[in-house]
Amino acid sequence: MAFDIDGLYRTTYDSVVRFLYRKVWDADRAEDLAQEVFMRALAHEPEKPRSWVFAVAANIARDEARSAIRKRKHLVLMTHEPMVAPSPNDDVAETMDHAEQEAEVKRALEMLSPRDRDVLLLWDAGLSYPEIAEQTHLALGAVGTTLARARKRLVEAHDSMEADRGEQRRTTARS
Amino acid sequence: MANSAARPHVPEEELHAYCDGELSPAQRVEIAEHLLGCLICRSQHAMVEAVRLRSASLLAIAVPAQIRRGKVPAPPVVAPRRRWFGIAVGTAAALIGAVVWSQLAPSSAGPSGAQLANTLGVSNLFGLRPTTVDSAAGNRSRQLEMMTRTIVPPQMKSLADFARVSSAQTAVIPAEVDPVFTSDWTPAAYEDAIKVGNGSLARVDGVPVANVRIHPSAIGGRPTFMVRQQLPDGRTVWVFEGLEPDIAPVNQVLLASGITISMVTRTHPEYVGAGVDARISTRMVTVVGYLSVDSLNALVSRLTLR
Ligand SMILES: [Zn+2]
Repeated sequence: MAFDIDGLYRTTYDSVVRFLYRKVWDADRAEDLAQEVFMRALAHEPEKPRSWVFAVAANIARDEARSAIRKRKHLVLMTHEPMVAPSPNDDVAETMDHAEQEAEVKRALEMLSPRDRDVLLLWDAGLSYPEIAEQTHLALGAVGTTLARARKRLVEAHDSMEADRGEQRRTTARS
Repeated sequence: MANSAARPHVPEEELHAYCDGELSPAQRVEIAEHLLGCLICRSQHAMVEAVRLRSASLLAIAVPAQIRRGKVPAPPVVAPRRRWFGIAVGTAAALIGAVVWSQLAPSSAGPSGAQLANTLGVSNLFGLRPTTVDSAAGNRSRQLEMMTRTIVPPQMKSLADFARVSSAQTAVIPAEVDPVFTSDWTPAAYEDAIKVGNGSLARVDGVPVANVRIHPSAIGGRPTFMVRQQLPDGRTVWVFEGLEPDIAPVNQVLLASGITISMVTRTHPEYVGAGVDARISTRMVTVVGYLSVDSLNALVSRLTLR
């Protein structure tokens, strides 16, 4: 059967970008890397395209993290016209709230061990337990345990941040 | 009760697998039966389900805006062109364009829709992304290209200017005062400032402008603008826009003051001056305020030049 890049792309593009985004935390970079992943898929025509795509995405993200030691800043090259047409329904306060919420999720994810985080992100990307096991070299039986722990830790880490913030607010209000 | 006695309680990870639909039919039945008869496991099951949903909803926050809005670019089609010589690539691209458009377009897709989708498809051939496609106003579609560069260090040329500014402005700036002292910055009405800026001035879209201050360029080019804007919650942000050599010292002052500065956005290089004196410069834009850098960066994505 011919390798169906369009089908693969349609069904996994979003997940691959999400997966990469949670590793590099830059939307444009995540999209660039996702394009790279699918370009490689075209060249390789992998047998198990879904698992393959996420394995490559994980590798690319790892390389990216290493090279990020250079500490680049992303700068947007604008045209002379308006830089960005904001989504008309998108409220400013909402945009900002979202950025702050996302920063909290990012910090919570960073509190997980790399393995727990990977399993969680792979599950969220739509991989099955056997696919996750294959990719992370965990025993199939360990996937559930790891995922259970990862979910709990993510929620706990996030809740503890929320609690801290509430405490800070009270302190500020008192002083 | 007989069930729960016949079998130990369901381990937590197995409940996760059960909720995730990752068990064999036989295992599923076994657990479902146990849950029917065991209050302890039923409550544990409810907790597992809650953690699953909470973690999924937390992860759902960490999704790029493009994906949140359901904007998926066309798949890479460069390689197939090279490999599949016989295929009518134009048709393939048009088809992909149509698919993308159907995902993008709200029900109000106008006649410009197909055109827009094509732009999107074609731009992706070369790895360019239109960061935003405003389907409500098709003519506003445009491409933004990412550049990786470090922030430009302060230019020697304008250090004198910097010294002048910083000597008066090293103290920490109170939250309610404009971050750059006012003496060298001329207040201007917004409409006048736009005229000074030749019809183009950076600001955060959708946020009212409180006032504008203008500072002459140290290199005789376009002045530096400080647009003060009031957010819906009453907080203030300042958008600084100026030529590279002019904005760098301003950023130094701001950094020293402890106020937060967003990532730097820059325009295409443009000509400053005329004739033999013409030289190329780049406008740099930052959003500044007593907010988290994440919030400020979110506002950068809403910057508009008008
Ligand atoms: Zn039980």
